[in-house]
Amino acid sequence: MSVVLSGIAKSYGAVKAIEDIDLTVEAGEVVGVLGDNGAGKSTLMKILAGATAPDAGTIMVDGETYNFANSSAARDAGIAMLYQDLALCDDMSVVHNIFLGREITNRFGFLRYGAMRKRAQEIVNSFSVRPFDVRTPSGHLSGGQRQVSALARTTAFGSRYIILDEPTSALSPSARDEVLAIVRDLADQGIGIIMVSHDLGHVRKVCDRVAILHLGRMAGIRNMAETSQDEIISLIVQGHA
Amino acid sequence: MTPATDNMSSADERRAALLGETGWRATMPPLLGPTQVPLAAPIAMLAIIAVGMALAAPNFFAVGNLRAIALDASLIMLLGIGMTAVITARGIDLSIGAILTLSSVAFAAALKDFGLPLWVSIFVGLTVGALCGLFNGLLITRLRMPDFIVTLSSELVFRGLALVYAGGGVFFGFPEVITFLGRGRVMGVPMPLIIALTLVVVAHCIFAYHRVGMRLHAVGGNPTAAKRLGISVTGYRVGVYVFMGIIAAIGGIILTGRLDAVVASGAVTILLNTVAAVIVGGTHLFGGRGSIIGTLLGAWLLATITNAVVMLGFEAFWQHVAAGAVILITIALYSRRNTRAEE
Ligand SMILES: Nc1ncnc2c1ncn2[C@@H]1O[C@H](COP(=O)(O)OP(=O)(O)OP(=O)(O)O)[C@@H](O)[C@H]1O
Ligand SMILES: [Mg+2]
Repeated sequence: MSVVLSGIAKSYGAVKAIEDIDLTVEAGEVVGVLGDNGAGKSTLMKILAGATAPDAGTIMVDGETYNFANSSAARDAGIAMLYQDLALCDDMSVVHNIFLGREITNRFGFLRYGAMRKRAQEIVNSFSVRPFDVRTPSGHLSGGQRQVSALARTTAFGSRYIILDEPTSALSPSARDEVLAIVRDLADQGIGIIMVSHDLGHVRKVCDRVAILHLGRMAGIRNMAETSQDEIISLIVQGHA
Repeated sequence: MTPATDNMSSADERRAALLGETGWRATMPPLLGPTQVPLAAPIAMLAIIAVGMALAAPNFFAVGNLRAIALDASLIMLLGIGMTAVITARGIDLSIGAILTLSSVAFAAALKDFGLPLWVSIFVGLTVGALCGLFNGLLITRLRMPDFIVTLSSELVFRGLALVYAGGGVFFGFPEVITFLGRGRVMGVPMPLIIALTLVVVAHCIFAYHRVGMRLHAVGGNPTAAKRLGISVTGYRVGVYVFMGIIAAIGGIILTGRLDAVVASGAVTILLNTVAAVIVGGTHLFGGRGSIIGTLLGAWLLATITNAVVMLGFEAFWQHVAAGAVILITIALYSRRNTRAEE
């Protein structure tokens, strides 16, 4: 079970955002994606999420080749992207937010609220953070809890691979730890995670492997246990160790 | 070490408590729907007016007067159902008075000028209402024009078309079925109220407990997120205007029955009262939060104010001042609440 990207390239006009990228993410592992500003991290994530079409290359999910037309197609293949903001409807409860677009209903389309609430609470409870009541309107949540809700949504939708583009950048230190803990929880539940971050400390904490992009090319992929901070930094800065 | 352990066990307890709740309270959907709508303001204002009128004008509570309020309230309520859907989806329809009028003229013309059967004429009226809504919805979504500009212009277009066809003329002498819908009573209850309340119940169930209602809230609350989650934002936005058009046409037929007449220049103040009722009822002016029950209360409040102004011997024009004041009070209350929440 894995996502395999091979030979992915994307240009914006004359700018080669990424070129010839190969990357594999196994189910149950956390892969960190590092690189300088403009290295092409977000571009790669958007391609994997179906939000942008690549110029070249293939995406294989669990052995099947895909050509995502849009992010719904990627989601149907089991890949979800967590958006930093603009993800929740503040007036609606966490329950409604988690199931939005994939509501549990009876055959006439009426919501089975009890079932949704129970499932939503189970998911939130399965994370090792201080649990909160899923009936709370999302607008009343803390930044960390909002992130938890958004992550819970990807789980409820049955995603097997989750993309996080700088999931901790707007959070307080304690909320950051919560999100990182959840990332680990999700990996332990068998979900493959690919996480873009600028924070080496966070990457060291949760990632099994790191992929480093430099000027749109893959500078290197390392096992976390077998690399050093210095090696990672020189890959980021110079593109070689 | 101890505090950490305490934290863990209290988190576990909290998990168990949150999941363990299985009584009806835990499984019942929130009564008012996916969003929390504050209803205290309209209820309080209604109570204050009721007490005030009981002291100032006891015949306010006479059956005849209550029926008069009910007739006004039911039209506002009916149109308010459509307007609640439109505003919750982050739109606004300023053309409802003209849609009501144009569809009434279409209905009357089909019946009187073209001699079509009654049911066919009703169908013609509703279709014209739906087409007006479709026109609004398509202009707004396809040409990406602001809702209030489109519907402000189409108010002129629709009303102009009604005037072009009917001129200053009046249609009157409608079949008994139609006058019964507008003036009849069942066990003392006016038919328009029965129709409006029936539609309120149906609409509330869809709005608050059905997938369609939930997605409608999302389309207004966070269109970007809704779209990412595979919801057809454009479809919903066009849909609410078509729905509004059909509702306005139903209102037109009821009003035709009540007056036993169609005048192409009628139904001008209904827009103000309808928008006021929806906003006073707690629906958020900028979308994402709404309640049909709130609109029911708001409609009742607006009709009561109009009636009270006249009963107290003020000139009828003061009703506009009162209605405007109610909107301002409500918006002021909510925006204070919001600023406090953001602090
Ligand atoms: N929509 C776009 N149109 C034109 N150029 C783009 C677009 N998106 C990205 N680029 C360019 O592609 C390159 C890679 O951008 P990308 O956003 O993927 O970098 P990044 O690694 O995510 O950077 P950061 O760390 O700043 O988020 C940059 O040179 C950027 O200017
Ligand atoms: Mg980026």
